[in-house]
Amino acid sequence: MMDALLSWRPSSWLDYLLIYILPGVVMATYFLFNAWRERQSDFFKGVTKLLGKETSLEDRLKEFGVYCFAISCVLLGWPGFLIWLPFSIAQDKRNKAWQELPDFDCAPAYLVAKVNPVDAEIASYVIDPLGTAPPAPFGHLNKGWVNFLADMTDDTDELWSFFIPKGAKTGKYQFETTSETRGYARVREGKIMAEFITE
Amino acid sequence: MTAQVAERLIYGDKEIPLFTNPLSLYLRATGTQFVSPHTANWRGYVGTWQILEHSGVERLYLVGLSAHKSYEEILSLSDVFPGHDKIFAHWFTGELRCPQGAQLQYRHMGYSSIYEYDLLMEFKQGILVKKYARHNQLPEEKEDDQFQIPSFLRKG
Repeated sequence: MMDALLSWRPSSWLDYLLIYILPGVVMATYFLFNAWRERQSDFFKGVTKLLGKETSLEDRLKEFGVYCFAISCVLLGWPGFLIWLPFSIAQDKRNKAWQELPDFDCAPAYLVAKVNPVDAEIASYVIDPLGTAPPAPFGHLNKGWVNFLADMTDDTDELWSFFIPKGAKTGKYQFETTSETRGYARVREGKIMAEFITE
Repeated sequence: MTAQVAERLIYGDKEIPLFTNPLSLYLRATGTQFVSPHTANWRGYVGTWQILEHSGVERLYLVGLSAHKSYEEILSLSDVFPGHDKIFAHWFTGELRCPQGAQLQYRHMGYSSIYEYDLLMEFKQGILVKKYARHNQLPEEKEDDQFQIPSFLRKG
């Protein structure tokens, strides 16, 4: 039988078609296996039944139709999936790298001026007639300021003041700021390494 | 996200809900974190605030705090700020929003519920600079996303 298989050569268009869809069959089997592994648990089915949201026969027929369509696409269009795969992997890597980026409100566009830490401290004392703010730079935020300065260990680190206007879109997620934001940033070679928001 | 429990503001002789978290910048700057006791309090604390006037200047103070160090252990203001019975929120620049009147629409997210009107107070470095009220109306409902799905693919 092995000899017969090895000596077999495609002779008709149907044979060539079968050879063409063979990788698609493997790929579709893999996708179907994954879908089977991620099928709804009995517990989930029980809960949906209790909630009166049980899958109807019509839904199952629709799902079957979608699966048939998807499998046909995979069988015939598998080279497209192979082309798409490296792009998808590269996109996943880019997403992962983006997720690992620190989330700073300050962006280089909002840097105002390079400042000296001593000057920043002199301008930071809080006036409170009720005497509830500690007599230290940045009042109650002093602990954060001390930690921020303690991390300025590299000779190339620079301290910059920054100002973000109200309504500006900033940060990793580009959220709109609801108020004016001021603070200081630790900048190294034009890149923001840390920030200390004062208001 | 569940609707979140409001901060409190002592305003006149009343305690009113406050839909702003003035303490968040302090916590971020100092690296302080609390534990969420339940889904309606992701930030893990509820602060009580008061605007106190001195020489014609009104300032925002934190006068009470109930913060979860763990699910069981709750810290008070003097635990978090030893030796203080009130804290000047000098780091706060922005707007305090206090919902007032009847609830027009409940929204199951953060402070998104809509009330008849909002009392808005603008602060600059913890000092009150402006105060006004805004009358609210129900926004027009947007069409549900499900209508973008072709009908033959919709369930049921």
